[in-house]
Amino acid sequence: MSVDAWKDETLIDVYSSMREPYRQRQTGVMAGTLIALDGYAITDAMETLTATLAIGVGMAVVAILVLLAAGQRSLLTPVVRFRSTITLVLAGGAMAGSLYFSEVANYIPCRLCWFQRIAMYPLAAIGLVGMIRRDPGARWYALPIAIVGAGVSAWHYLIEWRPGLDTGACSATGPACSDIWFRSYGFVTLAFMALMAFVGVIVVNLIPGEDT
Amino acid sequence: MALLAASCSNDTGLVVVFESTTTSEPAAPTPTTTIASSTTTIAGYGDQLRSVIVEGDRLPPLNDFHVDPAVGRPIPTLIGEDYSGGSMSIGPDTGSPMLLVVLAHWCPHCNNEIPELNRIRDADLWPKDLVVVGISSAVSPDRPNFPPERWLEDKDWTYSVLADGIDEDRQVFVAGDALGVTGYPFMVVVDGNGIVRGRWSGERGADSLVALVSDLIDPPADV
Repeated sequence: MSVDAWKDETLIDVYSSMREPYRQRQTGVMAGTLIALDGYAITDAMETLTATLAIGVGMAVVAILVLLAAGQRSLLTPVVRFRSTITLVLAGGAMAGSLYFSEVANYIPCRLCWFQRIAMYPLAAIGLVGMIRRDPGARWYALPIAIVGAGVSAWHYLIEWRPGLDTGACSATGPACSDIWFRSYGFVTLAFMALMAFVGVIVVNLIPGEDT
Repeated sequence: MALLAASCSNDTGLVVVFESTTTSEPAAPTPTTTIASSTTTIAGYGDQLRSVIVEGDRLPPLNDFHVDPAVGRPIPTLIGEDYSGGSMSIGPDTGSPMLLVVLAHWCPHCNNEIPELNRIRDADLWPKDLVVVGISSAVSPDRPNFPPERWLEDKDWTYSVLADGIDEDRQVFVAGDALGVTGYPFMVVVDGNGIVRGRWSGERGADSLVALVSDLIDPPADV
């Protein structure tokens, strides 16, 4: 065997062995579902699923705002009653999604992603404690954090479309904030999903009325 | 000549090291040679990674445009191929001034800069005899605009392109690492003797690019 042929054959083994833990790791996530998907297919499915959920949250926010504008507050009574639970679901879902994409799909979080995490993760804890204690005052702790997080997400989403507003270069050692890992449906990115979760938390917790 | 190919295992897979042995025969390649390869059979990558061989000393990473230790040093020779499989060699013996453009398909700043480079090409504003060569690096199947071969076609990139490969041992892209890449797009201006005149990272725009490349290759008399 020539040296070149040996190199090619050996390096094929190297690449296969390097990628195998990654593929097994992702397949393991789906082990209980009896769905045998390739690692990339699972990530693609997760991107589509989370993007769809984010759009759903956005539509729900619009519906709530329309009802508020129409003076139909009585229809929002369940939302008011369970706003801590909804905060937990939105922030906890966003947290789970972000951990999936960073720890399983290996999408490296950028600097702005970390700022959004700093805001998002405590929201899940506030929602959980508010739900358990049935604390109507929990929303006043959630709101300022969600507003700051929404601001960061909005800026992040903006520079994804206008990278010239960012640093001007993509880092070779870590992702620039204007990099995108995926854009589902032509517009849903990770920053958009975070923005929808933050806006959802803000709107749900801003609805007038005391949850009991 | 004897080329020793040694391999060993660790917890992440095989590590392959190629190095020249010390014998009475002429050693080829030189001890500073880095050899890395890629294959068309990696799941997800398709044929977007190619073998790249580096001969000569790697350039240090660019940390400060204004104090670049690579300026005045010869570029290493990069031996590889383009996406159609044609052989390519970029090195200090090319004989013409060069602009090496390292691109990443997923990088929005590269997406912005290529049209600027095309504007200069279409207006024929590059310095005389300048050879522009692209290096498609940082390939990632999970990220936007994959595969880079199609992305470059879509972006109307008509300069030649060296397809970068991965050195799994060092976890780096071979050509990018050899040029000291710290960001994308990354550009290296090389004079006709193969000496680095300047490097930078990031978008500049057509006018700034023409001025900077021209000044680096043919410095004003008062500099």
